[in-house]
Amino acid sequence: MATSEENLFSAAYAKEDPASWGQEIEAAFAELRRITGGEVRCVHWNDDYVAAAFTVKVDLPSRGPVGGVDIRAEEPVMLVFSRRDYPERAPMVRSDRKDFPVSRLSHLNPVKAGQPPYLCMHRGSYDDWFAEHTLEDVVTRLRGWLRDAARNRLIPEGDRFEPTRINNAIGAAIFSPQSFKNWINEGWKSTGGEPGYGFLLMSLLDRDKRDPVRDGGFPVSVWRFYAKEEDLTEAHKAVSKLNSLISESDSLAPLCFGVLCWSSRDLPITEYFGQLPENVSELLELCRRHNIPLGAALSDYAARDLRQINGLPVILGLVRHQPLIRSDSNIEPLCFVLDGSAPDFTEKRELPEEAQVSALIQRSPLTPEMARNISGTGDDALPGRILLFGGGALGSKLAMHYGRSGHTALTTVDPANLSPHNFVRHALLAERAGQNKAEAIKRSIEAIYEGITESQKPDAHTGSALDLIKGEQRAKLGDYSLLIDATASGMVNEAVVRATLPEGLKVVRCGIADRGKVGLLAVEGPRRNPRVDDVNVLVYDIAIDEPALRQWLERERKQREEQVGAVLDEITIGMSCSSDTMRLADDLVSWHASTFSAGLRKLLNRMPESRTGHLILNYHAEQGDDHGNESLVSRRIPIEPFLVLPAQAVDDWRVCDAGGWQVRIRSQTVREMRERLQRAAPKETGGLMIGVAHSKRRIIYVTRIIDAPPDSKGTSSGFRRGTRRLPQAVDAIKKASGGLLGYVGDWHTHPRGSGRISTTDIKAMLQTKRDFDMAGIPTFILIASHKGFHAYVSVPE
Amino acid sequence: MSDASITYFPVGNGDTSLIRLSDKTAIIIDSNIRHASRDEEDKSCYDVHAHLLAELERDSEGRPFTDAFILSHPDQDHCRGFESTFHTGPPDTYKKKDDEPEKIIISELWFSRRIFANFEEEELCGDAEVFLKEAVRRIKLYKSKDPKRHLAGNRLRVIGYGDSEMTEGLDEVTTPPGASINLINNSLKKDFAFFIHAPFKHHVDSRWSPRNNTSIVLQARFDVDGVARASLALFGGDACWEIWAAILRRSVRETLEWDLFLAPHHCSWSFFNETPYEEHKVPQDSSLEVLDHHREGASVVASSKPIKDDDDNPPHYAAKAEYVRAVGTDHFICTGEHTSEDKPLPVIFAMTSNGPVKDESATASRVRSAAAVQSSLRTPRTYGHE
Repeated sequence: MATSEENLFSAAYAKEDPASWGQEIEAAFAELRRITGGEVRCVHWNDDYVAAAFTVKVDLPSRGPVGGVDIRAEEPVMLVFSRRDYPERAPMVRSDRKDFPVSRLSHLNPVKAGQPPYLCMHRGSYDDWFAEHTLEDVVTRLRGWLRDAARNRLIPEGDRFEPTRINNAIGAAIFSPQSFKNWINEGWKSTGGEPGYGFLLMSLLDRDKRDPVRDGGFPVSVWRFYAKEEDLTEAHKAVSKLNSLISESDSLAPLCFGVLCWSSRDLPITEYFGQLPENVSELLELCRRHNIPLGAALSDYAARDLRQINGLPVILGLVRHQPLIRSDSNIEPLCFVLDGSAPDFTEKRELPEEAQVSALIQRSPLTPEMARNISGTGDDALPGRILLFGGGALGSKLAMHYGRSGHTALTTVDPANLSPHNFVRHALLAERAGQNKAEAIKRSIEAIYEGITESQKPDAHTGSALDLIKGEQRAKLGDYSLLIDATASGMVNEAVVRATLPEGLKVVRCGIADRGKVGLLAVEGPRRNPRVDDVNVLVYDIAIDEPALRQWLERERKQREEQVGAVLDEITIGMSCSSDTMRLADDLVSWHASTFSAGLRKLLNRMPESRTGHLILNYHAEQGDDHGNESLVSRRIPIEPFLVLPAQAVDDWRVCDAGGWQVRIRSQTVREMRERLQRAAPKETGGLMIGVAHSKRRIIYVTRIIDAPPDSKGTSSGFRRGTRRLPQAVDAIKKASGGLLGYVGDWHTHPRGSGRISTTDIKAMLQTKRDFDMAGIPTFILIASHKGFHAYVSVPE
Repeated sequence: MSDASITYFPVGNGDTSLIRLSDKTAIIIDSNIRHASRDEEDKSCYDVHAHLLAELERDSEGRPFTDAFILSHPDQDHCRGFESTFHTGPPDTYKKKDDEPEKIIISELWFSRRIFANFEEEELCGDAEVFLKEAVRRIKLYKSKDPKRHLAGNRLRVIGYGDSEMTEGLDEVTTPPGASINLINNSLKKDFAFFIHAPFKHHVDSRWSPRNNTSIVLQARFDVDGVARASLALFGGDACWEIWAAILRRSVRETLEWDLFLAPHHCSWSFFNETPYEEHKVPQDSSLEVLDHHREGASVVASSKPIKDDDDNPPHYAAKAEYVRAVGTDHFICTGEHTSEDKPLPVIFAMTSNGPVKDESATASRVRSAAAVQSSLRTPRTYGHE
């Protein structure tokens, strides 16, 4: 069934010309036309975003979508691009249908009423996923999303219920899942399992939010629950008295009362909330749909005069038909703060319909267990000002090592706020809860010292790292001599790799992997060669001969294969520690941070005369001492510059431009090929190249060669690459690198004459291309001559 | 648990299908496997062997295996490549050779006893001879009650009757037409079964019945998410219209229903009527009735080379027209044309509780990449300057 024009959101949007939105976006539209083979309309989203509206074909089960959900064989969709941040920022994926069956589908990000449904494309960071993928991958995944919706597989069989995604929370409600479960169970006892309500005693964590509720930062921590039958008179008196005492304090925040409502114990709610209420009327309507007595609760709240501050926190407990993801409970908490400032609330016993409702994220409180801070000091001074991307676990520790050792000229960049669970691994302590991470680091370093000179003061940027790489703050990059990327973000990594940076800015990237067993810090060489991406790829190669790394990559491979539907084709070194489900001990983060901090300080002191990049590699070695203890190894490995070659393509037997493809070859491998060339001359020789083809970056990395097998034959006019034991040799490398390195192409020599491709070479290349095009991977050959190296890459048609 | 699926490989005029169950059980029906890189005649040849190596599970010794291999009938376009693709002989004699792709162990071999027919006019091709030898080896283990007969790689299942010299005494592993079976490779399947329609006894034993008409005909039944018979697929080898007419007479509706129908004999006219077509242009009512048993949204898969508007048979243009009439253009898929004639790719359907859905998963693309690299590495390449 086709969707009529009046049922499309985009029909009402103004037309735009992609060409006026920059080269990247114009190219994206051309790419979308190629991928879809149909019309792609360009429409206005807002001043910063533009949308591509088009139709995708969806494979439906033969008798139609499972359960009759209204997914169609042709679905109108929109990809929404950021003018400034595309392609680092992934395009938002929206349905263009006004009647898209939002309430029956999971994996949707809530949107405001009247906005196009917002499909959630990835369980983790979609931007990070996109850093490793192409627009074609997005469209394929989008079709997969719709196909899965039609086959009732958005949530894989056996998976748990995905709680409502909260994207625009203005604060957090802090309470433990166990307490929440206990309150609701207590409530059900009083209502015989029927819907009901009670009250909560809470403390506001930021006193500045006592009066306003409209802007961000409304963190509350819940203390206890009162069933509605309980007499709150004494509690009310005590709270009022306490609040009056602390109203004079500069640092203490008041207590307040909130409302807890719950749904029926025996009637699970199946509705997904594609839209969250934004005013009291919408919230009451949501509750009415599920027989939740919020209206009565608010009336009772007013009758008891429980209002202490303008914000009125409301927590709903919704019974779902299966346990929530990462929980053993099937009760979903939905948390809001209502604007309770209406002067006549107490008299009328109801809030105005239009009173604002904002979502709060539910956060679990920090456990009493608090990690020790480590202190890292050193005599070596770091050169210049440091720009630190990421004030998370690793970033904060690096910052505090440097801050404590006197290097305060540091700007931290991080848009996130500190949540309680962060403190298990973060360098800062709980009094910083709710504050922005970059600001908190800045204040913490400032608090250590007095009288820091203006030029040595720490600074904070509470926006995205992209603001500095691409945005309005870009001009400030010249103020820094060192950029440390500690974000573990694929998106930031991709932006750093692609960016043109000031010459004097040294780039470093660090991360922790394998639950803390592996740590990696890459330091770029002079003129960004080797670059951080070269060093990352080289890590896979080092793993071939290092059991600890091999085991890590093997575990990563297994995890990738098990995550059906959320598979990353490549891994990003480093993992985000900001999640409360990431298992990683603070002492391991500290070990990596201290070796990185100390190692980097040493390296940078020697850097002016260094011609190489470096890798600091931390891991748990298998061989320990005689008592079976593991050894912690920290190696510093110099990395020579890579040979960087622009690739050419072959089209219809002619050499032509390869569309920006580039080949980057490890220097040791270049030396080995030259040595083979010399040794075999005047005969030709060759072999296989091992590495990674990165389609998104259009780069083929080569990290090693496999010599020509014994059934190969070289003459003065040609080279026949044999086959004996090649599949086994490549398989062994693939296995040892967790499937990340593999065969990328053949190389051979032209000892006489130039390294230009011959018709014999083209014929061989086309034979390989026949296989590779079917698999959608690029075909690559390299020719080594005394005059240089020539790379030829052909991408699938 | 993963979604069950069927992969129909592009193998020209011939059949090779792979059924995967939710517990990863693999069942291969027929083999018309050529080697892409060695087949200079057919540039578009898809490397099925490399695909299978990339997709199939490995046993505890790292050897690739399929739970079952079913030979519909021993014609060359149904067993080509059997010798080079599959291991034969006792499983403990399995060896990897440096210069050859690994062979696949068949845990359980399925066949009908027509393979043992000794009619003068019916010679077996080389691959069928190898298959026959392997079947005889396994039968001997069963007849001698050798305990090794229960090991993966020695198991067998006879489709038909155990009353010939070769197959008598094999009752424990014989399944007659008219029965359903969910025991595959010694494991009872909770969400899958085959219903066996044919071959019929008198065809198997008659020298006047062409081998095509002794094809094993099966209905594959998938239960999904608790929905019984959620997806149904019919496989019929090369059986002609008379066999289907007989099946129609003997069967109840539920054993004939289908969501996927592998067009018999590579989309030949012989499913609809006698050949040549010019003399029998009207399809038999019984054949049309078989097609009428399709369920909503069903698809026909023709495992054949591209279908042209000419006199070729198979594949036959008028036969295609009849299928299209039954299911519509969008639901008729020719493996030689999917997704292009130049580079045909496997047709994959995943089973859902509402019927099969065409699948383009990331797993399929990874398997294709691994297969392409393996294929290229096994082929010498000649370079040289001028």
